[in-house]
Amino acid sequence: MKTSDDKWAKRESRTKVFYTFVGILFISITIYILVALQSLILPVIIGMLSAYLCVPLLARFRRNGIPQWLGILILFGGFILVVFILARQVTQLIPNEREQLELRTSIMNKANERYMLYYGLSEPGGTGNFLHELIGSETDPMMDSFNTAIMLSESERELFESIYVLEDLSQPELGRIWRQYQMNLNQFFYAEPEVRVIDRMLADADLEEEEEDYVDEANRSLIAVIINIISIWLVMPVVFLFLLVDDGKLSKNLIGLVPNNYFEMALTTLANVDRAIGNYLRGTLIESLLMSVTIWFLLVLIGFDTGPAIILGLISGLANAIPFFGSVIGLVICAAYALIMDDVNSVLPFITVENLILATAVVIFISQAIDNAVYKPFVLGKAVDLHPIIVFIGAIGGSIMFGFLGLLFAIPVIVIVKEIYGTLHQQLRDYFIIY
Amino acid sequence: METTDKKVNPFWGNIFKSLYNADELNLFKILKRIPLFKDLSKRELRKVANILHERNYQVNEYVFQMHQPGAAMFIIKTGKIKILYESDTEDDIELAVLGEGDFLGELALLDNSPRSASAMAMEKTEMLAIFRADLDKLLMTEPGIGAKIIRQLAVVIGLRLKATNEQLSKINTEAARENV
Repeated sequence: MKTSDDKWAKRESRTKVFYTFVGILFISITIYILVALQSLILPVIIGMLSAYLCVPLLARFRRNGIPQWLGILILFGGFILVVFILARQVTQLIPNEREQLELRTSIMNKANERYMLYYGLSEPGGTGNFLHELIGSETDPMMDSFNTAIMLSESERELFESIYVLEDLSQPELGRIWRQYQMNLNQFFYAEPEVRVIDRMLADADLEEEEEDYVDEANRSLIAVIINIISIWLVMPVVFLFLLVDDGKLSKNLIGLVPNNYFEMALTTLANVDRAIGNYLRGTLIESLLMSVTIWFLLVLIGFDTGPAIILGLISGLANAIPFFGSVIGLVICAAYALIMDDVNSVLPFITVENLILATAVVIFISQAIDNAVYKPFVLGKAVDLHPIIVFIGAIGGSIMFGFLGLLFAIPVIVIVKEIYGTLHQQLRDYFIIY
Repeated sequence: METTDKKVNPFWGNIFKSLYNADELNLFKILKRIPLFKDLSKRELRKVANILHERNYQVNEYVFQMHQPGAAMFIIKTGKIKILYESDTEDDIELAVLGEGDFLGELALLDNSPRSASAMAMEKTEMLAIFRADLDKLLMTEPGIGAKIIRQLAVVIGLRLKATNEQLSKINTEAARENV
């Protein structure tokens, strides 16, 4: 009997060593892969989240008698269509070299026009109104930095002038941009009203050379960058399709690795986490779409054109998924567009080009109020119950690591990790594994 | 003597080959013995088989323990399981021994109420587990199959309730007789 117990004990200790070794190896390899394939993380996450959102739709298809393969085909087709339309819209939104120069010229001109208008300045260096006296000394250097950053460099000015020499400047649109360009050349600093922005830039020749080198380098590698981005993002539909076809086999195989003691606990944890994350993601998506529609409608109401309002609404609605930062992102994007608008066709008679930025801020404020009072309580419930500090650090960390998309996906990832930990802890207690 | 490995024409063999392999047919045979699945066709049994988890237990290993929340029903593929009532103060009471084709923990398919007894392997045992959330999903995607399973589950629980009532009534009668 004693020999049998010894054998059993030895076997048990060997099993523990085996699982520990395999566990450490698995974690090490996972960390290595995550670091090595960092650029693939976001496409994989987006593909996974999209598949996650589509799984209930697939179940509904099957319930209505649509075969699994046809359901997958419909969803995959829809996914590719959405990705294609979005990619097309995004590429259309990216201006070409000429459009970029015109846009920067226009933004610089409009920004200075509005700046002087709001501060009651007739020229840089003037006294202005009460508001300028109050905070002008703080904002003038900021505006000067903005002007220095957005002003066309020497090579860009040469290119701009070479294009416009051949153009018919009697056309209203071209004539307007040319006039704006000329006005920008005569733009003075606000903090140093005797110095023109362009003079300072010419004097700082070294800096300009560096800038040119950077622009040249960026232009040279543009095609390589695009090919690289496309090849990386091809992973997304593959992950999406794989997870839809998988039909739970992956989780079944993972459960197969779990020791018998933890079998039921692992099943319950997986199901609870699956339900909670599914609810959160679907709730967030619905909330974002509702916010997109709300912002679009309100922007059109204050005089934005329908096309740009749809895009601004979509971006702001999507960004709204980020607590705290989302509304700021929406406000900045919409206000930036309001800044370069030339005319306003609002149904509300008191909204003009001059007070459009204020109206945009009111739109974002109203949409946030509707979101907090109506959408969040009804659609999302208490799915996101994160401490503000965690949200803040998570969002900043995500943006440092992966840029805007990192900012967007940091909170869902934190919610997922929190849900896994919370459920696992509860289940370990329910199954008397821990106290 | 009849030879078992008949030469099959590759062409006709492929056309008329069975839709199910030997392992699947064997699994269906086990499932068919479970009252819950007895009304299901082979096509429907395959869908149930897709959500089954295969588990192997060593001698004296717990399948589940008393008071733990129930999440899955177990079917014994091979081996033996004893059902134990565990007490902190007294020795464990062996309530039943279950063998191949028997099933246990079926109430876990309805809710996560705590297990009323423990189950322990008496020998090396292969089991099939069906998880409540997976059955719920099957109910959603294949309501026809789900309805058949739930109906049979109701029958099984009804029969057990009837048996319990009879036992209770017998105990009451005996107690009344003793009092007289």
